[in-house]
Amino acid sequence: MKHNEHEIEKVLNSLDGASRAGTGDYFFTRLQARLQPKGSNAWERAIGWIARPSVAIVGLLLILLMNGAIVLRQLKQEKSLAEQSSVQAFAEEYPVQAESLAIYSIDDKTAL
Amino acid sequence: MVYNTVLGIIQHEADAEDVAQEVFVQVYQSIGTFRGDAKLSTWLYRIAVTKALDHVKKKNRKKRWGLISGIFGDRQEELALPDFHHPGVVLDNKERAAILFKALEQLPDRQKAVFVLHKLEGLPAKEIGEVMNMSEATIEGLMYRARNNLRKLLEKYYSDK
Repeated sequence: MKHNEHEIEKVLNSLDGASRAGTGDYFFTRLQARLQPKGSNAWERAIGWIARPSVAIVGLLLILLMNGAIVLRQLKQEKSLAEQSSVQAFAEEYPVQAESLAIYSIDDKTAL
Repeated sequence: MVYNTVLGIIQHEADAEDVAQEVFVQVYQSIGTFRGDAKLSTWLYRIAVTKALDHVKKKNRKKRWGLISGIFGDRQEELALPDFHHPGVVLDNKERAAILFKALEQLPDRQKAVFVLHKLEGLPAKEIGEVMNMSEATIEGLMYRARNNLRKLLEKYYSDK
């Protein structure tokens, strides 16, 4: 019993004179790396935000959608231009003037 | 001093490094709120003790959850942690210090923190009081109770042996 008490006292005092524990070799390198994103400037933060997969994919889809819309619009415009030019060509080929039509209508009346 | 305090409370070197890093990150982020009415070291100790005790609580919660899930069949292999050996303890006292740390784990949070700050960092009761926002008398009371509880735990350990 007495032996135990003596040993317990030794255990309770076993930390006396202990030196401070030090960190591992890469502690400060890791800490610096951990602090880096917090201290980065606005540009780096913006680039980081754009580089996020969700943002990048949404951006890409938007660009594709805009491309599609522009191509469709272009096609429609070309089609209406083609129609216009064919009407114009027809008018040039067969010149129909208002005067000549008026003559036809007078003749029709006299015939009656 | 931060790492040594955290290591004394957590008793796991890798976890203690992570928590010490968290302490420095918090210091970096909130240095503007430091009013300077206490010593910088006191402020550092306070953050270190709070973070270390939070980590221990989180770990204990996980352990309890592991036990509960073990009862309901989701049994996970529990690893028996090796005895903690503080790197600063002299070789002659290594085994005794490991026994002391094992007993220290079972103390209530505040008693544990007071014991570590006093024994490992050598802080006087007055400074520990400033760190923990308590009076000197309260710290002395906590120290006395910590020593008594450790003695009881060690008596049990040696009688079972």
